[in-house]
Amino acid sequence: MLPCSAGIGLRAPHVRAALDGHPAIRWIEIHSENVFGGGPAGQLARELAARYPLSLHGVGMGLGAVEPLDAEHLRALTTLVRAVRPAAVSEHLSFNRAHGKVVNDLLPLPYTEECLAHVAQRVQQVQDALGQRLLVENVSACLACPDDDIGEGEFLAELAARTGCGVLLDVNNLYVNQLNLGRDARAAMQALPARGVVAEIHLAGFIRRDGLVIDSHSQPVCEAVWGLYQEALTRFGPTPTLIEWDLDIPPLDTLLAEAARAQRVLDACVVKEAA
Amino acid sequence: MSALLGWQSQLIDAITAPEAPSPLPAGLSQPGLDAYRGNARLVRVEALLAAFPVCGQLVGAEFMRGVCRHYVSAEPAASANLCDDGARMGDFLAQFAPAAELPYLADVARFEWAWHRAAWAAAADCWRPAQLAALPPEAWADVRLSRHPAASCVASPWPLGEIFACHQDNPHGDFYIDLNSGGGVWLLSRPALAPQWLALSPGQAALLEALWLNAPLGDAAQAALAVESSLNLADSLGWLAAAGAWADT
Repeated sequence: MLPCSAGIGLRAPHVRAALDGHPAIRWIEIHSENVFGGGPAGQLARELAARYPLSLHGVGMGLGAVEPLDAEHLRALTTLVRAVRPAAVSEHLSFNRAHGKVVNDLLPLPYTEECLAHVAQRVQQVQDALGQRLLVENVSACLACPDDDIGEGEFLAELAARTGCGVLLDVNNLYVNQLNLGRDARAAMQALPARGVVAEIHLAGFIRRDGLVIDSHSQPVCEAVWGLYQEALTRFGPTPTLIEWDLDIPPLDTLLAEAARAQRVLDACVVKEAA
Repeated sequence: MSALLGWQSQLIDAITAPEAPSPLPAGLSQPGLDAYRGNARLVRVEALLAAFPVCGQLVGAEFMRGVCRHYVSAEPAASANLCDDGARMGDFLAQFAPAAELPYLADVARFEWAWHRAAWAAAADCWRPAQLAALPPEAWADVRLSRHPAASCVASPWPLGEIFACHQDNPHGDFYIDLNSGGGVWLLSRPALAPQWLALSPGQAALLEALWLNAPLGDAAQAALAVESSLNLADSLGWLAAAGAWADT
């Protein structure tokens, strides 16, 4: 279990500082694929896991692809999970390949019953391999399938109900999809059970380009998303929260200041729940 | 085809095609598709730049970015794991006309790829010659060994080891490389946690190659002695094993 506090996504520029030990870092998340294998990267993951509660966040599984899961990928993840015993393991509700072609991205799935049944089976397969609960994250999208007939929140809720998986709720992604696709971020949160399903929250910043919002993870969290985050905690209760910053990575203090702001919102939520 | 597979095929094809399809299939909008097309290429270029840092130093950052862009257009993504991308960079550079004046560049890329794979390969215990002791000596000639997942060889007429060493993070002062000083065969491997490289003698290279091709030890030894009659077989076997050439299966 992740601590119910605000952590940071750890990327290369801040690895040294994290290894040296930084009291303000409460927990960290790293991309699973970046620490696959038996070499220096795998060793780094073991060292970090010895120092902090660790969340392994996958970007390459392509959970929703119709093609079979990449057995090598699943084996590498299973080996990693056994070696570092992470506090959480997550992947994205997305696909990345079809008929032998691969795209290294988190591509949006149709929200249909056919897709739901398929993803549920894949989530089960991964959970069986890992021997633990998987957290599944909603993605941001620049396109939506015209066949969509299930809401984003309803889809995630049903996936959790069928598989026992948790939801890694990316509040920024909900907001990006509201701007890009006209979806309703609040409605998505309301469609999720208030307790027991949302096990982690992601916050990040985006950019605007060519009339689109791009989920670049290269900016501070915007005020609208801070507002949605407050609403998310009101609904789901205190939830482990991560600041993601993957491009144009700022000094560690800037990153930790964002985490400290999330921590203040979390602390206020804890006080309110206790009252 | 199911609706789910239809959507996935259509989107993957539209992103990977050299040009965006026209007219756009239902559900795809131009700026949205362009964003995915751009990102798919960008993340691969960034991963390739990270995998071939010495090539980048040799040709300069801007030229290398251009190389990677052309590579991404010419070669489909290898897997969903970006660390697997770049296996054909050596072959690609060998026929990349703008780099023709650096004839050693392709082999440097092959060396870097072997180093990259040594760093990222799965964990496996190394085979040790002491394990022969468990067998009667007359059985040794029939022993077969399997390649460690982190180990591979690169052969080249250029002094790759020297070029690679001079372009690491902390090169020791000025350097001069005589490009005509001769090439060789190098073993890139990971006996413990860190990748390493070693220059091999012709006999050692032959021994390694034969064993990796699943020849029994007796035949591999003969192949090695055929190219280097003075080769010390026992020492070479021990030295290559200590370098992590073979996995303990």
